[in-house]
Amino acid sequence: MDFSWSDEEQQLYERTLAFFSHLKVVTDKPLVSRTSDVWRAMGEFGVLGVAVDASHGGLGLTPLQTVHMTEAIGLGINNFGLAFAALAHAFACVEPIAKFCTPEIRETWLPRLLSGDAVGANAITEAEAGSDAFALHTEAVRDGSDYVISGVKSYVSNGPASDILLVYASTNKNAGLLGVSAFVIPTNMKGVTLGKPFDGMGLDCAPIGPVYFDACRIPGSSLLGHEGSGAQIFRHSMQWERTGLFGAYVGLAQRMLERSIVYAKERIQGDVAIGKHQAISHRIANMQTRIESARCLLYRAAWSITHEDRNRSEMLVSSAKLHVSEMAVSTAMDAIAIHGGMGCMRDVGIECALRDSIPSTIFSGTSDIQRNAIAAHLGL
Amino acid sequence: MEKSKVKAAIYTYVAQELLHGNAGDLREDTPLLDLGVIDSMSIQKVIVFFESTFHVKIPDQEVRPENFSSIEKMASFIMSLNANA
Ligand SMILES: Cc1cc2nc3c(=O)[nH]c(=O)nc-3n(C[C@H](O)[C@H](O)[C@H](O)COP(=O)(O)OP(=O)(O)OC[C@H]3O[C@@H](n4cnc5c(N)ncnc54)[C@H](O)[C@@H]3O)c2cc1C
Repeated sequence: MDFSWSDEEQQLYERTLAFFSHLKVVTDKPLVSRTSDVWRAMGEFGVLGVAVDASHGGLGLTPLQTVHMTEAIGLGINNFGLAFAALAHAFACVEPIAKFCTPEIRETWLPRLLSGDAVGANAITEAEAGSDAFALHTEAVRDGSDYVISGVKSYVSNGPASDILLVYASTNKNAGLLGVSAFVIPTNMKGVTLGKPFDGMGLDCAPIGPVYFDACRIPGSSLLGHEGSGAQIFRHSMQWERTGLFGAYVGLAQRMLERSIVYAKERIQGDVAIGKHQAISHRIANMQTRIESARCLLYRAAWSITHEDRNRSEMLVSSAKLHVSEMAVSTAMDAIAIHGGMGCMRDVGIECALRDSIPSTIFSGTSDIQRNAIAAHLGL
Repeated sequence: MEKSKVKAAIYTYVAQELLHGNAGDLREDTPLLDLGVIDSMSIQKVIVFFESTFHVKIPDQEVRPENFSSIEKMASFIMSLNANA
């Protein structure tokens, strides 16, 4: 296990940091849209296809190289919701489509998804299928060579702005989770309705909303893999999301640490910089320790995906997702505490880290579900 | 390993771990997927149990309903993996 970076990997990190630090984010128009300059610029930079094999036009990075790159995104970007939207698109929609879909769909959609000419989303969660992700009511019924899909998906990140959806639906109710299949569905198909975005906590420019399927007829070629392989495809995509997207949270926490250090040196109270008060310096020392341990665990988990057996890597990935998300929340809390009253003011750019971090303990499987997965891998 | 022993080990595992000792009239052909006994929460546990107890590797593409739908089907699946090892 070697976590030192080659010159090429380090250069990619530096370029990514520079790109995202200088990204001009104007929020008077939707950012997550194929008509958005920022979305297309991210496509051109390669972020939207970070995990896609180079032979299919992506950057073809390994999971470990990916978390290094996404860490730079989280460190550089000042609108974390945009990073979340781009990485949810890249890991939970584009990568599995590139890996599992038919050549026909790959040729039609992949160039658009990679370049930013389309927005992708992943739709599995339903009102009654959240943590029990495969207890789906959405059904895909075979009709000749087509499937007819009906059901409602909730909390679809990018859903309200999406051009294409990776949808999980049951094709065999009697087979439970092994009767779940994955489909690629363009959102302009008859029978698809995109709901309005929810007014949620944090991740400000990332639209998250429901999607409705009313007898939506799609060709058989929309199926990814084979019937019943939906659970396997979802697990595969979650390995990417739980590492790649969480690299960005390590970057976000690092930014909070760096800002806290600067502030602790500048802010004078009682004739001394607040960083001279042990209460503050120890808080910062704890932030540093937590971030570094989360970073190491994330690297370890990402490395495991390509070097160790699946059971071990899934356990490490769950541990890393759990630890990084909870670390991000406590780091944001610490940053707010260190900035005092200013830390609570929106235009200072600190409190948003807390609002952006809390949802990370819920999406991609809640902290409890990660603990369940870790325990299951330990034979409990 | 004999199939009857594999079946007995799976039966005990399902009864104790997945049904928490409330096996009721659990049979070898009880449809475990259909009844939700094996669900998204428990499938990973079952795979870990198989891999550690029977020293087999379960490829992703073999995680299919026909291999996990009942104790009998799971035992046959394990035997086929052993035969091909
Ligand atoms: C910002 C955001 C973005 C999202 N993006 C997407 C997306 O793009 N696509 C998509 O399909 N979904 C998405 N989701 C949905 C997300 O995956 C679910 O919200 C999550 O899996 C939890 O499901 P739930 O909300 O139904 O909560 P529930 O499953 O109802 O859980 C409620 C509480 O009970 C606990 N709990 C439930 N079951 C267990 C158990 N077995 N053991 C221990 N504790 C348990 C949970 O940990 C939680 O604390 C997103 C959610 C958020 C917040």
